[in-house]
Amino acid sequence: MNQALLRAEGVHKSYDGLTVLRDVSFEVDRGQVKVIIGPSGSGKSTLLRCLALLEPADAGEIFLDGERVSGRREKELAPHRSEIGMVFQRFNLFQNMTALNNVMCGLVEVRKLKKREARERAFEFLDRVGLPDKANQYPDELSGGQQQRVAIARALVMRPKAMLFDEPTSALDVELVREVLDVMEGLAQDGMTMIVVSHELRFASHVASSILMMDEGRIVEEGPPTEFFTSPKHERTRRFLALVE
Amino acid sequence: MKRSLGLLSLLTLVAALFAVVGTAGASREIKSPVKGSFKYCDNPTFPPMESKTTSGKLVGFDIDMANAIAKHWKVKPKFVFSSFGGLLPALGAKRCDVVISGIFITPDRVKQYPAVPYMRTHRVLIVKAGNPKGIHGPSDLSGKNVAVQSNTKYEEYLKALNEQFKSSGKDPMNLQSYPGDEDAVAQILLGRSDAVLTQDTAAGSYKKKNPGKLATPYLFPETDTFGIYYRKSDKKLGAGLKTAIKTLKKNGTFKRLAAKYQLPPTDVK
Amino acid sequence: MLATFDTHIFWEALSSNPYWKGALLAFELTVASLAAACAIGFFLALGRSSRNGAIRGVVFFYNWIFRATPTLLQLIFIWYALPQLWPTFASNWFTPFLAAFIALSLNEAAYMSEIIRAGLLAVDPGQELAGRALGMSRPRILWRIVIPQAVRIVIPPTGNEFITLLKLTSLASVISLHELLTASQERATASFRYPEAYAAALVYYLGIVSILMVLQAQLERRFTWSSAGRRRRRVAAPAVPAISHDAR
Repeated sequence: MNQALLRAEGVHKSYDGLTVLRDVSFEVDRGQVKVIIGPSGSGKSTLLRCLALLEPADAGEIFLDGERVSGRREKELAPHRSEIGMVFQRFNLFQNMTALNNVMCGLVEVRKLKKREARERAFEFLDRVGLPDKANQYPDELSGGQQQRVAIARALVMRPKAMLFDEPTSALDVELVREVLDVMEGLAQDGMTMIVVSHELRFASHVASSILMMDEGRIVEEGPPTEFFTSPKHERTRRFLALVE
Repeated sequence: MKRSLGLLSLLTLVAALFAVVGTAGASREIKSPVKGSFKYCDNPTFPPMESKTTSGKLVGFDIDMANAIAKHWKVKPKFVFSSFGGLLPALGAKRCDVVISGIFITPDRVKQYPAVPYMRTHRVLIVKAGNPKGIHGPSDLSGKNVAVQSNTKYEEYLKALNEQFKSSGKDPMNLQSYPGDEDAVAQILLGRSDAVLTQDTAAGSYKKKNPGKLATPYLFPETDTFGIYYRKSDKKLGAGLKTAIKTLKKNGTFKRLAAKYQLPPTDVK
Repeated sequence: MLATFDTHIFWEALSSNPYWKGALLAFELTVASLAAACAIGFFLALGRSSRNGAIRGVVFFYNWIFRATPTLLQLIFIWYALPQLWPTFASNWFTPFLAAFIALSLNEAAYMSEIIRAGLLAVDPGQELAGRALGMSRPRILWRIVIPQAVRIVIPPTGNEFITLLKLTSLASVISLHELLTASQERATASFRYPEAYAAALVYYLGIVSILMVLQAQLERRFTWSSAGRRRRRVAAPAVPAISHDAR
């Protein structure tokens, strides 16, 4: 009866013979914010992509709102993908569109909204991330922090059930990180279900419901921030935190 | 005294004898108007005057004639390839000494380059065997598909004929032009064209190569003359060519070549 | 030297109907063949990265055949060999223009497929990833996001191909297409004035290429994504290796 919003069960994934995810089980409930940390190569990004239905798992299942969404055909996956917002490390804004058009894109192409309505809604969300005056700028005319905020708006405007963030601030200059984290904190406060892969431990300790540590394709430990940072249970977690702090 | 007189007269006799022999030899010794080699420009797509065998060897009346002229002048013949339209430009650019290529003597050409005539010939229409489109003369070409070699007098004639058709309200021909005369005839064999305008010399050779597939329903009554073109500045060459042709005609070379390529002997008189 | 160049004859040739018509024909043939080649080449490019091995094989074979054989040979084959295989190709509907269009389109498609493939590869894969994350279907992602960005990249090499095609149209003179080269050859043989006749043809070819260069510049500007009011010229697009094939 446990209605986790997004759940992965026994997920296994390998690339070219290299195993990246080993029997990973993970879930996030509505309104929860979970932050995943770990060394590079631990499988964090791969797990996120599997949850976002962008990569098929070799074994295991993914459930969205109780419905099994893994192992489906491409055509059936697309509508579910639009219910899971994804924000990338490198923003991946559409270079040939203005900020406004970027945000509109999903509404027009996937939700099949009329352009006028899409434009209104898109503008509203651009405003929400604090960039109403950049509506007609192209991505390469924006700073990294601005681009990432547009990317967040683009995902948000689809009214997803959950938002996934893959190291959203890792590619930003230090002084631009704050503006993005502020937006993300605002989302968490509004009750958005979020899974964030990040190195920003201070943000994690403020906002996360629980923190997960991944290493070598497995979830090593999970716990609320208070416990996690002060008294990690596993040796590997302790070692990693020592490196990062 | 008597002995020295005798010796002197003997010497004079010997000298006179040499002189006679010498001049006799001189009259038989033909000075070649070209040095070292006799270069002739030719477009070998016009059998039996000039063409290439399947193994790439040059054959034809013109080839043999050029060789005969070179032999007469005791020089080596040298073949220089050109497209038909490029023959006279090549002559002007001094890539060769003469043009020998089954090319007519016409007033506009002679204005630029003089020519020595060597053979008469008739134009002819070639059609598919059995003459399915019923072409019996130039006026029957109206509305038909006709192929011809580009930049020739044949093409000029057909274009003028088409203008006549248009102005008198008859259907014009669908005229297509090709680099080689043989390419034009190929269009009849392929079923694309109904007729080709070319020379009777060529027609004979095409019929031989494709027995039973071609017919020549119409022979133009007017004769054309093939000529050897040379540059205006080469006056000595022109004179030399005239005498060479005369000689070759007199000694039966032309008759022999005509027989070899099945051309009417009257054409080479 | 230039005293022997008769400008009156030159202008006569330049303004004559056969030259004008021939140039127009060469231009039409080029545009039509390039358009068809881009369309065919696009699907060939997609086929190259297909998961289906049979499709990849077909595309490889196609590119191999059409790039390895001389264009002139392909032209002549279509004109001479087809009627002997299927008599219908000797009928009037199969005009020299149609034959040249087919030959040049098929030939050019092989080269365009490589250019387009390079253009598609040059688009950041993150673009497609972001599209999929939004829930867009693959065709839609191609149409709205990847192709516009790839077009920007392939404009310069495609301009090159236009110029190459324009020159290739002169080959069609051997299958009796009355284009610009034919017109100049006819005038030269008829008038015995070679510099004037051929110079006039050169001028037309130059003219057509100049028009292309202007159109290309306009097209490149349209695909430069910068906000209105600030026509900032972008840095050159990522280098796409020029596929040099002038040897054909």
